[in-house]
Amino acid sequence: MNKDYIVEQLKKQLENFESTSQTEKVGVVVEVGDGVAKISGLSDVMSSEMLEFPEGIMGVVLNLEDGQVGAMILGSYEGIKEGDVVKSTGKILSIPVGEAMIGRVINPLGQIIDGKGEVVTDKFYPVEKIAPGVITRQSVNQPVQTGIKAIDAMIPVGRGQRELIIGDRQTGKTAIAIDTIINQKGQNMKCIYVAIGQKESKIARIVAELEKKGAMEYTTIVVAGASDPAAFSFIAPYSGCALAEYFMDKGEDVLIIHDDLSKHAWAYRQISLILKRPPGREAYPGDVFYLHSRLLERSARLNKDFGGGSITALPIIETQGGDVSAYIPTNVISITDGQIYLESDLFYKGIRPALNVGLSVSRVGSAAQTKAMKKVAGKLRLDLAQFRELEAFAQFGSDLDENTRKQIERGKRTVEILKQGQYAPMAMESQVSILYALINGFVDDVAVEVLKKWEDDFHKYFKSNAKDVLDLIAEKKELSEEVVTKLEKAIKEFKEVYQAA
Amino acid sequence: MKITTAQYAKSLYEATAEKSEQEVDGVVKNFLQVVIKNRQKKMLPKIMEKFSEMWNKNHSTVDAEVISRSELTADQILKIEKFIKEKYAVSNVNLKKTLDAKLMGGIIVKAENEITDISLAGRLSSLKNRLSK
Repeated sequence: MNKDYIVEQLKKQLENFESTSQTEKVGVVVEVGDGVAKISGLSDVMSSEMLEFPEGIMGVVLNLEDGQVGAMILGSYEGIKEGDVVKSTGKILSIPVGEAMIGRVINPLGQIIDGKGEVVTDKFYPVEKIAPGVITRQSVNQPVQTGIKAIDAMIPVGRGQRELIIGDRQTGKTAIAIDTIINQKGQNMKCIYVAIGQKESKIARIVAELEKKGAMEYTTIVVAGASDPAAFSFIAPYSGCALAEYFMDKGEDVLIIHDDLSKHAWAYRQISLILKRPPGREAYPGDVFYLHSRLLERSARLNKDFGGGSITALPIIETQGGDVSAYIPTNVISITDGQIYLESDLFYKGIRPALNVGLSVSRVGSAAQTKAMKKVAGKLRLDLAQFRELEAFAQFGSDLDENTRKQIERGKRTVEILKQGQYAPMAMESQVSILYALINGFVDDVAVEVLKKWEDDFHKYFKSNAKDVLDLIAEKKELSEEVVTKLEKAIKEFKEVYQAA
Repeated sequence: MKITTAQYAKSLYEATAEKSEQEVDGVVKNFLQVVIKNRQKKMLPKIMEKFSEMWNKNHSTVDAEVISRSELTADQILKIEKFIKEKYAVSNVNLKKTLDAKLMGGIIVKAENEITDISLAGRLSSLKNRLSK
């Protein structure tokens, strides 16, 4: 690039520049308060139309009232004063979308905020859109591999499903979501992480971690930080969804994570109260259910005739003191196709991910589970359920009959095997092999204290010495006669080697 | 029952229609007394707004403002008035003239919530927006 080129470009731009005088509808600001403005004038303005405040700040019409409109301001509202002229644009709020957005950090208006240069896209998608209808959909038939043993085995998630992650603060909700993103490498999945009202430091940490694991190659992060206006937090999930829809319309599979929808509801409550909409339960406005249902309904599995793309949503809800019967948690639980319930008690006991297997369900995901996983998962659930019943007796180990003692021992090992570190997602074939070893009693003679080490060695051995078995499971995706024999042989070989060492 | 601003404006319009100036003085005085007696003095600015809206509508008039850098010639003003009359299909124009040196050149015409910007400053700022993209 040289000087002449730039000058030439400038000349070209100037030549093409035509300023046509057109009449614009305008209004005047009469009231500004905390990110919301009341504007008089603006006849013929549409609901959710974009407005232009002075100095290029954008706004969105939310309320159409008698003689005035209520609008939220997308940007810093400090400079806006009474009497400012507001222009209507005639456009519904939309964001730029395109392949170039992948690997970037954007704000809810689609502007790049990672400082790595602008992107040029030619397509715009509306932020608010009606969800795909019945005829365009089909039921889930392909799994999302989260890479977390407990989830993939017992709470399977399918592509196009909406699975809620719910729990108190500090129970590892975001960790599950991030692990899931990391595990999508090579799974033909685009990921979108929407941070709503999150601390900027936390977002920076997540971006760094994803970059380290090479997950930013297929991930976009939409950020509405804690210091951004509430209007940003309000539109962030819809913007993320608009970007996801772009990929879905191209027939691709997308995973979108809304972290978290409680803060989204708070932002909407703030805007609604300033707009003087009447408050209801917990001071949320009356349409707070629709706020989330219209968002999550946009996740879908399209059928072949409509491109076959999908959007899988993992919304996150933070409960206060384990109270899932509060307003927002109950709403979102009823909207989603199941929930992953995390408990702080389990977390402090050292069971991480702190999954409450009894309360977590997936209503549609089992249809998408691989056959191999289904086979091991059934027994696993049973083992755990029996263990929970007998857990109370576990303290008086010596007085029990043989059968009960066995079940308790098995349960302890099951819990131990289902523990998994952060940023360490596991491939489906590895999960199947270790769970197969577990439910068929190959682990019963290993002490619980050394089980973690044993499992690590187990995976190491399989990856180096029994790669063919793993490949076979990954390829066939079911435990046929042939696979089982090979798998058992490999497990026995490993145990011999382990004992000898 | 509460009386709305529109109802006040309408009654004022009807009471003053086709009256001489002296009569109007009396009517306005009475009107104000009624509003104050009803403790709705706060509504007066809005009533005035509605009233002028109503008056304009019934007299086929439009309030407009033209902003320019320097004083416009009589010929120019005639042309602008003609433009507004055609655009809004009215027979009278209440033209308010304002001077603003920041415009550099050209004019801005404001009427009925609408703004037509053919000033140099406006064009420059739209060029700026285009180039900064």
